[in-house]
Amino acid sequence: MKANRPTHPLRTGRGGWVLLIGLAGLVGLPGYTHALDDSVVPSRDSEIVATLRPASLTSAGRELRTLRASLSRDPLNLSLAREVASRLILQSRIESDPRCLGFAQTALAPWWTNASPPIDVLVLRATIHQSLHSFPSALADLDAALTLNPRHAQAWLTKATIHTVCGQYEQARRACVPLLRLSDTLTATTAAATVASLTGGAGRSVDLLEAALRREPDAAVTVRIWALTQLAESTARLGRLVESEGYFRTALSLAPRDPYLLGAYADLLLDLHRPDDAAALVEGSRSMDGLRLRFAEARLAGGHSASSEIQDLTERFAAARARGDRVHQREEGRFQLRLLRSPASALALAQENWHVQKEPADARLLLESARAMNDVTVETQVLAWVTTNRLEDVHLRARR
Amino acid sequence: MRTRPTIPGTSGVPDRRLPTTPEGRPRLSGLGCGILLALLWFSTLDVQAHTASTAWLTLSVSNKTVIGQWEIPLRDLDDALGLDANDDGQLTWGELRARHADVAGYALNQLTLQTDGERLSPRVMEHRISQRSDGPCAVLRFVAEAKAAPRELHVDYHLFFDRDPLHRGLVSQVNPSNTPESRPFMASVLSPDNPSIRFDIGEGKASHTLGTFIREGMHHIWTGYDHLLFLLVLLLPAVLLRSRDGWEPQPSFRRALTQVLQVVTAFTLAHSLTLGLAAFDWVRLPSRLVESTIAVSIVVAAVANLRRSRCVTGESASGRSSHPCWTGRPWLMPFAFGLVHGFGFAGVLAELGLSRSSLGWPLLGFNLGVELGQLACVAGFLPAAYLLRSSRFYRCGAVPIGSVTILLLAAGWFVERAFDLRFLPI
Repeated sequence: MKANRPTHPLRTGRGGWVLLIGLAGLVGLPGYTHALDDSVVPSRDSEIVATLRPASLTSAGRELRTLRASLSRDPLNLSLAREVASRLILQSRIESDPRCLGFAQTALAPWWTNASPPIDVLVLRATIHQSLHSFPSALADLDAALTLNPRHAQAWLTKATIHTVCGQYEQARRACVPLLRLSDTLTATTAAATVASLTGGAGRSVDLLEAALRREPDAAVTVRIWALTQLAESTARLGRLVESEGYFRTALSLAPRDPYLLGAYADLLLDLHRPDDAAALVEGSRSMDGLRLRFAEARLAGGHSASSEIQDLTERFAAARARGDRVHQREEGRFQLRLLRSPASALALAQENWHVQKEPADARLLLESARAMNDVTVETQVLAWVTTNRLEDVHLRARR
Repeated sequence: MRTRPTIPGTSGVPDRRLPTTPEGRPRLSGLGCGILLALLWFSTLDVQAHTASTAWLTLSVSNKTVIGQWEIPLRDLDDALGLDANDDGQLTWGELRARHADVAGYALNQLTLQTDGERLSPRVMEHRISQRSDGPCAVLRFVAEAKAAPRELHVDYHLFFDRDPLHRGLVSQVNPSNTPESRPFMASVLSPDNPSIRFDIGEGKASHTLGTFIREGMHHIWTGYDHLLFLLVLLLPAVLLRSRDGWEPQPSFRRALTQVLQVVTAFTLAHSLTLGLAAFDWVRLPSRLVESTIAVSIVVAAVANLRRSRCVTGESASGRSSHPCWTGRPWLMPFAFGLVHGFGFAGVLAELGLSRSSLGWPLLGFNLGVELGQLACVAGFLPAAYLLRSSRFYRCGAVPIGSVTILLLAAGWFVERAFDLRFLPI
């Protein structure tokens, strides 16, 4: 009798089995394995396991490859080494990949630990040190280079930059002086105006730079972008936000995908409480950690979820930390403060970072972390530093 | 300022071209006409799309065998070995597979492993691919046999140091029972200035190995929620009887126990069988299929519970099923799906990177661990369920609501595993 027989649920209809087999087949079709530890063995030879670069190597990239191969056969060839190293340093910017800095160091290997290498090697070595935030080593190499040739404009400029980043404004100012003789007007003016804008002369430096830009319409485009960026940042610090946005826009019209500009402009938009504009600005470039950070901030400020960006940044910062890298402390501090809302970690990172670099952004991170932790001592120290240097910045003012 | 095509998903950085001299050669030093200027001034923003080159080397020692897993960024391997045969910037598995021997030779040539003064000869057993935060890595799983169980392991690491002095090897030594997740962030950092490290291994006895694998088995059953949930779903109704008027408490503890034992034994027999088959590589199934089917098994078992757990009395008056569905055959479902779960366990065992020759003890230990872990759960569940079985809470709450919850979770797992998505917290 049917009614007395226990009915197996999977026997009540064949539908269940059909469905099950169908689903299993569907899963099996793509045919690749997915292990629990997240490593896999692809099952198809055609599967792309890594995208190494854009579809085809650019002619510059092919040339660089050939040059590196020649250098590996002839590692003591100084002019070749210089060529390869300088191209790789540029490549490290283009690819946003510090690997190229390591390759550049390898190109200079025969001279890397040399106490008195040729002057070009000194300047290149300084640039690599500087990119890795080894500022004292970089300055030592630059001073050695300038002893060999006091008319080396690039060395003076690099020296001025590093001193500015380190908050050593007097040395920075002195390094700018020779540039007036040795380089073009806009370069010298921009370098000097940058230092002035951080030491009590912000308003005047804006006027000076505006005038210089008008007078030098034929200046190299990279220098114009640099000058416009300085103008945008100086006016933003002065609270002249509409002007600042204008400069950012002009600069971006010359270099639409410049990561530094995108980041700085996104910061302005975030300060202006326009998170959606900020997110739209950096969305296409968020593969870069600094821009991904701003993208995540903008998403959160706009009331959206940023969990995948936060997860990803957490992993990247952890990986850098595991390596012992100390290059990302400013970004990581900001990440801790604004995204993870963990002011204690942020303050620790901000303080460590403050030992290395002292740009307005570093001061702001330190001040905001200290305030979040109610650490009056640190807050007072930052504000005292701002007063001493006569730094004008709307974000670095005492609380009323 | 020209902009070049960007690598999808990895770049977005403008091409700052060097101002060039008439011969077309980039000029670097000399007057500061903005050559390195942009470089320098913008260097303080962290616009890196990459961390510097980093490889992870995880070593474990079980008895006389040193087992290694080495994750090396494919970008670096390509730069060193030119893996991209057709030079289109896209490295395919086929291109990489054709060069596996070169990759293994190149990497192992720059790694020296010594145990108590004896230099080992590691052999790569398996090549895989992993995704790290900085991009895809080649995964080399290797083993090296020492003459005696080592007391110390000395690692001398030189991978890529001659090409990229910024490369770091993050080396860690783990017990085979450590979970892979605990791996990279407690590692020692090996660099050109500091290329060696020594690990103390302690006593390498077989019993130690067996114990480790028993722990690994227990660890897996307790943290691999899917196996436990499957068992739980099967056991939920074991203390009940289906009568004409709905669920009734099973009056006899012995009968409840018998049913539980039947379920557990069937599950154990089935998964031991397939675990063995898979561990010795006699049968191989894609793990995505296995993991997805495991999720399906939970869904099916939960549905089976629901189909016979309607709490409304009078339902049975329709004259249909009046007993738990597998009355007389409670072993059927645990056995059938246990076969699939066994392949899942094998996946874990494979992750430990064991070679077939040294598989005996670990396999026994792991299986024992799984059974012990399982029994501990049953021992906790059965008395509690038996005591609660008469309550309305158990019959009308725990069984249907528990089953529905587990069903939804497992359905989520299925979607995740089958379509390679991630959205559930566990």
